[in-house]
Amino acid sequence: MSIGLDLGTTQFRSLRLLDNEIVGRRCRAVYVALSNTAGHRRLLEQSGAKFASCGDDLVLFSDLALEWADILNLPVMALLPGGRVPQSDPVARQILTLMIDAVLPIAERPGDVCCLTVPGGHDIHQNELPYDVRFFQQLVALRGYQPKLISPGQAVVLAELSTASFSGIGISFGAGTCQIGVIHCGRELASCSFHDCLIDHSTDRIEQTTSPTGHDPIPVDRTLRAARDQVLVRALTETLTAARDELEQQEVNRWLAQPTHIVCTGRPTTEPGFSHLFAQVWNSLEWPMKVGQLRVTTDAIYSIARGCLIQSRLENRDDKHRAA
Amino acid sequence: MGRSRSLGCCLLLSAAVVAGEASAQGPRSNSKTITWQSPQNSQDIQVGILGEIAAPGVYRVDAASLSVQALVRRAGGLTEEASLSIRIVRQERVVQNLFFSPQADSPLMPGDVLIVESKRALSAMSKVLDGRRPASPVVPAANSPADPTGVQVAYVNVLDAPVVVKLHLDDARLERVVQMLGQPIELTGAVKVIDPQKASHTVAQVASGTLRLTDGSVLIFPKGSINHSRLPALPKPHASEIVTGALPSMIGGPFGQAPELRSVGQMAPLISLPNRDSTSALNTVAAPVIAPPSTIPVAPPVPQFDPQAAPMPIVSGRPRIATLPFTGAAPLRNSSSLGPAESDPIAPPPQDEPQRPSVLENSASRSGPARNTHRSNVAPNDSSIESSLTEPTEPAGASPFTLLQMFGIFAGVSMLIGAALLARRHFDKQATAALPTDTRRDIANPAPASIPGPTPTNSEISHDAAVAAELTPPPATPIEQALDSAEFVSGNKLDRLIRNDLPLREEAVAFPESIVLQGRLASRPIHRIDRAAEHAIGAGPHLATSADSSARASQEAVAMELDAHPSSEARISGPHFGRRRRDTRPITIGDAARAASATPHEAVPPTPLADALRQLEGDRPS
Repeated sequence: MSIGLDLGTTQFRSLRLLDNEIVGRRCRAVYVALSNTAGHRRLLEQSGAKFASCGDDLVLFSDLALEWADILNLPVMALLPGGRVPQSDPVARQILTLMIDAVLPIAERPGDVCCLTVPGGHDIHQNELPYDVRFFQQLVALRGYQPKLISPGQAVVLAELSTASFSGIGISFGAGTCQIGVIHCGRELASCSFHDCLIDHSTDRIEQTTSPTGHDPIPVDRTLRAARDQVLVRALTETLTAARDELEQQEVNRWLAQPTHIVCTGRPTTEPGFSHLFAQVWNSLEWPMKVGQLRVTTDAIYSIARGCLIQSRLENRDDKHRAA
Repeated sequence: MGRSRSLGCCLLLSAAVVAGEASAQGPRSNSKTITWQSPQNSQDIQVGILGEIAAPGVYRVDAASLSVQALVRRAGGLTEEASLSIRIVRQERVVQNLFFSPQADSPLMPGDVLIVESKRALSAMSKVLDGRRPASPVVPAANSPADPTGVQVAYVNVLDAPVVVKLHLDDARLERVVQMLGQPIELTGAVKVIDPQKASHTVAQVASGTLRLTDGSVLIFPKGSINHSRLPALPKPHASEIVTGALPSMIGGPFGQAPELRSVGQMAPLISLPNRDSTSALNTVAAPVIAPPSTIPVAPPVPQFDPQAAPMPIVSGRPRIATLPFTGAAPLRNSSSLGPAESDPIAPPPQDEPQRPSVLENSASRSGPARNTHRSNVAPNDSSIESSLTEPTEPAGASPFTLLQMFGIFAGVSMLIGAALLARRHFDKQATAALPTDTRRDIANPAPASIPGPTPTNSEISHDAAVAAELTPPPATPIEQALDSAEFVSGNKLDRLIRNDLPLREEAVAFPESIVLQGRLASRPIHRIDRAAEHAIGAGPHLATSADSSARASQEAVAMELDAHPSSEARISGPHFGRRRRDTRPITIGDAARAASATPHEAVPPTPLADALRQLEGDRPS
């Protein structure tokens, strides 16, 4: 079985191929803690909510946490503040394990490939992977899969740019980081990630911006919604300027076939007029490459997971043929 | 009886036919048509390379082992100034911008010209594109020439193969080049120049003959527009021997000096002395040692071309054209305009000249329309060529194969093909048997391809992909294998997945019941701010005021604290009773709050959100 796993800062998503359909699961990386009182316990039991007990607290996860936080006016806690695994919080790591188990079914055959993206904008090509990446790799391996890391930029290019020979620039505006990948024929040539870009503050104050409607944290709260375009333009300018300088240093503009397609995904891309604003910013920066098309993913939730699934499917096929 | 008689008749008839054909061939000594080319020479082709390479020039290489990497290796490797970008000019246009990888194997075609770009040119290009300075259509090479002594350029369509020369800076103009080539000045308007420092890799039509040529330019002349009789001595292709040891590189030093070797690979450079000649052949300001003025044809021909005054000599009598009719090996020089003084004194005689393939029709040479009128100008070095062309290397009429040998060869080739087909079928069966059932079903009943055209079967794809994955270092990515195998047109699940045709169904995630988490939840610090004092009081019940005068300063102070400690929690307003909770800690807001209230714009972190917030608050009516 092939499966793709998109581990974001605020949401985990998985996609797998069953018969003639794609089955997705997603889970929010948040939790809510209630005091372990008889009243709270009875309330939760009567409502049928599944909760965990942790000392003096009762813990609710994911969407349920958002609902009860809205009802009881409780702060929602982020499991991955800033996209990083809290190393000094063993309970948070246990909850993360539960969530990975929830979105990732057990592998049908040991060694099935699971391509995954990890939050935090880590460089997945370095030899010594950071703790966060190894943590998630271990969780995936415990489910019976063979974890293969890819970057969000690569995943979104795989998902959206099949007509361009899987070549182009993939940009993922995540809740914690903005990751940009330069992909040629499915292979990542260069990448860069930026933490202090669009949604940095909303990530830190996830309890303030997470809405109970099931959407990602909105980068602009109610006060700033009127200035949404302005915020987007400024944030895009800062991010793309930094990305241009970074990629120019890596001289990637010479590697790409031109014109180059660009594909964007993430919560900000669902804002009305995002494509227009992005094109304006891009043109003003004068990147040293010709742009063919600018695409915005139609499914901002599962596009990265779909790219992971495609890569997993290809890796599984490759392994199967090799074994044959 | 009648049957055997008819069989005998047939045999006799066949024998008569064979004998007639044999007699029709005549005595073998009277054969006067073709001397056969050796297989090695028939596969030689010529490609040019220039730019940041140790020994630029034109190379005659074996077609079987022709690749960019092999050519770079033979040319002595890249210089230190070389970027890894190589542009390939093929059929009068830039067809590929290659990222050079020593492990890869990029094929080449006969007549290709490779331009190894320099880091300086690329940085100049990126600066032009940066928008910070006005872009110039042509970046003058004299501003920052890679080599202060000259400019490397390549000519296409001047001879049958590309020509790589080095021009003096003063001569690095299109008009001057046309003059030096002895062509009419009107030709400058028809020459296309591929400029390496152009931002876009497009072929620019040159309208003005005064265009300055930059290092690495490729001049593409219109086919058939060159008057070969007026061409000066042009460089010869490199010899094919590879020798070990360092040779002076022609790049990076002025003429006449011994520049240090800049080759940076493990590849041994070629004996490139002919190439030195090639780079200085058209140099009008020649160095005294390498290119003495007395030996260099520096005088440009008559600029005005008069076909009556200077009729184009007929060269069919010369063996140059007949020598290399189709192999892509270009004539080494224009034989009709060469003179003894034009041969470079330091250029060694071409060692492979006697083995050069020679396809010569003796009768044609005898009965050619005219003899070369400039025959006295033939260089002494060409005497071997001349002799090899006029005197067949093999006995006249000695056909290398008899009919029987040819039949045997044909039978052998047929057997090999049959064996290969049988082996392929056997491998297909094995691969199909190893595949899962659904895949075998797909192979047996292949789905209609979305793109018409012949596509290999899945078993072929899988077998080839598996073999390629095992043999090719480094292994291609699955995407590349899939692209190569055209699996995406098969209409299977992967194809539908890539095209996003499959419906998506969401499952609800289920957590186990009655989970007991070990440990204690990480508590979040709660800050209480008492503006009456300089410090927030972390313990003891108290009532927070809700004054508005300094509320903003306090909020911003807490925001700054939250930025520093994202996991913290702030409750700053409203009456509340404090109780001693774990990790409750005071924060100091005095200086920060005062600074925030005094100059809030500097105190707030410069983020887009913060800037937008400030602007909104500033625009909000009071």
